[in-house]
Amino acid sequence: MPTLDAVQPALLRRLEAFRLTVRNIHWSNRLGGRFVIKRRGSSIEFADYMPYTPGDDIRAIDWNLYARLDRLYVRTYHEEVELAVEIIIDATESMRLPSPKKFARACELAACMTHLSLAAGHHARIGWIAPGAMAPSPWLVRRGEFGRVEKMMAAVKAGGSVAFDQWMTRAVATRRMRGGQAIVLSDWMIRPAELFAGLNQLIRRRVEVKVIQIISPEELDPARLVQGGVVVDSETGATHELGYRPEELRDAVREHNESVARFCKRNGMAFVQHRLNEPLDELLFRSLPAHGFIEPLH
Amino acid sequence: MGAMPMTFLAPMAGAWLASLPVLVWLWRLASSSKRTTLPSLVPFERLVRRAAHRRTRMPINLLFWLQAAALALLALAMTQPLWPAHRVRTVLLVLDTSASMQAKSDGRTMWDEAKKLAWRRIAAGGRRERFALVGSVPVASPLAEPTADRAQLRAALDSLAPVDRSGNLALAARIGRGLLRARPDATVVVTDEPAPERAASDRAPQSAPVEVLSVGKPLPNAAIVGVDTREPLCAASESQIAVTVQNFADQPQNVAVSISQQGRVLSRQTRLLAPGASEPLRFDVPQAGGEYDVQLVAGHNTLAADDHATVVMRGRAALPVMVASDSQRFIDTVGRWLDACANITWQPQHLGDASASSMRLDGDSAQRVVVTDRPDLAEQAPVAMLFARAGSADRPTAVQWLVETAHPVSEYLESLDVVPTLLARDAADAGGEPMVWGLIRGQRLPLVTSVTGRGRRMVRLAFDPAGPESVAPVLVFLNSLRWLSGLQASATTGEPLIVGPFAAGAVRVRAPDGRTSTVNTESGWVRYEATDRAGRYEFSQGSVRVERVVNFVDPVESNLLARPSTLKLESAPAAHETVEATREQQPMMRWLLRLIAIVLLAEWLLYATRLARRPA
Repeated sequence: MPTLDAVQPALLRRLEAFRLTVRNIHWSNRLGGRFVIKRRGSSIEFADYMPYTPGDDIRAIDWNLYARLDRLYVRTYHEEVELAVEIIIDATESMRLPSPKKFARACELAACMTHLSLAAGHHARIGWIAPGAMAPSPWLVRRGEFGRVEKMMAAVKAGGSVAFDQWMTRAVATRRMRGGQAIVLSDWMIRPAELFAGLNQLIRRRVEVKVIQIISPEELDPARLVQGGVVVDSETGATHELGYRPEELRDAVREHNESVARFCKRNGMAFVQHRLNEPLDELLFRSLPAHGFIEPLH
Repeated sequence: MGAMPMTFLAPMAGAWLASLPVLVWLWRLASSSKRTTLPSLVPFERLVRRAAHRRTRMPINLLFWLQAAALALLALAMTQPLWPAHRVRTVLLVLDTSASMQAKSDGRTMWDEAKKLAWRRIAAGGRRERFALVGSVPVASPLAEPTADRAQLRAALDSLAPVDRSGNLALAARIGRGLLRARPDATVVVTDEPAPERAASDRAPQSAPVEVLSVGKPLPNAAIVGVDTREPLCAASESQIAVTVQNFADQPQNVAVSISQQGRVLSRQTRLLAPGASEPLRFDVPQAGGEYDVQLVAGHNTLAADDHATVVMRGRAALPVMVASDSQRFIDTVGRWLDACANITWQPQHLGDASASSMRLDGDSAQRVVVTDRPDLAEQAPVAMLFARAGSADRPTAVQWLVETAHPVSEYLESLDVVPTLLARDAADAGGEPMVWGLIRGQRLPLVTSVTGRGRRMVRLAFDPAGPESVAPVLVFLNSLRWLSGLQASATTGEPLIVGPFAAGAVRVRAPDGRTSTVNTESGWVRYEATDRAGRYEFSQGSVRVERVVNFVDPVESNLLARPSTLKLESAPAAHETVEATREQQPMMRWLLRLIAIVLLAEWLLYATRLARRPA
């Protein structure tokens, strides 16, 4: 069970100088927020005139314009919506290996993203990619609700195996994901096809996806883990007698990671790779702004 | 160890070598049974598809290679290999142990400096040089064979000490090479003598380099360079001790010589000697005889060994003389001369018609002065006077005597004038040191010569005393006889002592420095040659006890101001000396075991590091 020891108040205060980078706002987000969208809505901000059609609210008819032009026009107003931020953490077995620190770091990062969202007045929800029907957290709206995050994190234990694309198909349907942002934290040790299929589900629902890969140095240099013999896939249980030169293993991991990064770039997703030997604040205040995840307030 | 060849047939080496395949099999077994859980095999799916099955079974592990290296090194160590041989230079270290090395300067003797210098040279040699040590006097090596062992060399160096004798470095170096049975790569001579000048021919490439390490500096000295006794034989004269002293300083100095007996000073004389000057001092002593100590005192005096001497005088004891010849006429003539002196007791030995090869002196001739006209008989006796017999063709000739004043005998020859004598045919060829010369038909020929050294004194007279036309120079004869009798007063270092009589068997000898040794005698007369120290030598056999005194008298050794070099640089090795290429092989075992330990330590560290980094 991960703890959020690294998420200290001082770190959170520093984090409040930043905000999530938002590229697109869609109508599908929750209403009543501070993001104005190009949709006739109910805000007080005037947008444009439109010819009256039967069914329009006759209270919106501009009678002064009718007097001048002898035609019926209705006034339209901009819609204002809230940004819904889905924070999705990979909680499968691979996140426990080669060290439990990997899942713990994912939880710490998720907590930081949650705090950033709540500080900016967004709605945030945390979900876990895990086998079974693990429900996501309720929508967190107020900053005071951040205290619940630690309890939620402590209750989660990584383990099991899940097909990412299937999980995502189910999640977007059941959680009615549409618009907003999704920050997905995983080691991305899954087949590229599953990854593409899963993330495409979000793209199709106009969700702005941000991808963080958390990986240990040993995974980048597998020769430090594999000393010959039989290797076992932690999630599928598949075995293989693996005996290659260290550089061959390194190249294989590098090629896989590059395919993930390439896909994200091609689809306009922010992507960052975080190594476990990199300090958390280094990621938060250097890597994430540099890769378009967050931006300074001023 | 050095000759043992490297072999893989050693059983232990074979066993360890055979363990290498076992290690490979164990690793393959471990690799096939070992299970490592990875987060995912997805990144390696493409790699697995294209990999050969054979390669997947090969272990990828530095630990394996370290263990294999340790096993291979162990197998190599069991073969007892040797380092590639490197040549070890053999250095002959000749240390000057002559008397002059006892000279003191600034509180330290030249010998102390020489040992320090020699040790420094040995230390500089490292492992690439082995040393053979040879002392110059007596020429002997304290080491059985050349060695590079520092402890052995230190002990050998400490066992050497200077003695009261002069030495010859060239001889010592030659004998040292002989002991080595090979030409050394280098010869190092540590001495107080200056380095000899190298001739152009000595720069030949085949010559072994000679390194001369000179110690000390020119030092002033004063020394007793001669001690003799004059005892009355046939004339009423006083007993005298003649002491010759010399100033070896570069400035004039007062030299005082005192004669004492049993601690009581009998006489004392002081002379101011110019630089390099010598002067004989005569001391009248009572005719009662006994031992007399001679002591020299001077202001600038750095060598103590030449400041003291002991002489023994017999007083009025009779001088035993043996006249041996196959000519009765010779015996009669010499007998008449001897009869004139009451203190001489003589006995004739007529050899009759015996052939030269069978002529032998009587057993007691060793303690008598032998007067003879037979060269072969003179050679047998330690003290002898040899007259030359002239042939029938010779004629009586008038001779003008020319006297060499440096010799003690010459003191009695000044009154001689032109005398007719019958010269020997081989007068011009007489060996030894000329004492009296004769002008014969305008030609300068030695008439009287003396031979001293190696425990012998001999006077050769180049005239026939029994010749009918000769005028017998009796005074020359008697003075020469008195000089011959002086041999008994004392001996000098390096000369053998002939002591007796004893019963046949072992005789114990106690040297002045306390060393004791045993010599065996069959004839009853002991010839003891190890007279390296000045002082009293004690010969004992049961209740029989004989003492002999040995003095150190050597003007060359006493002259510390201008030391001549006795070292001769030889340009080429002697025919029997061959260059032996000595190669010393060092066993590799110790280094291999250290390397194995390092490999195993590295393997353990690597294993421990990986174990610590492995996730729980």
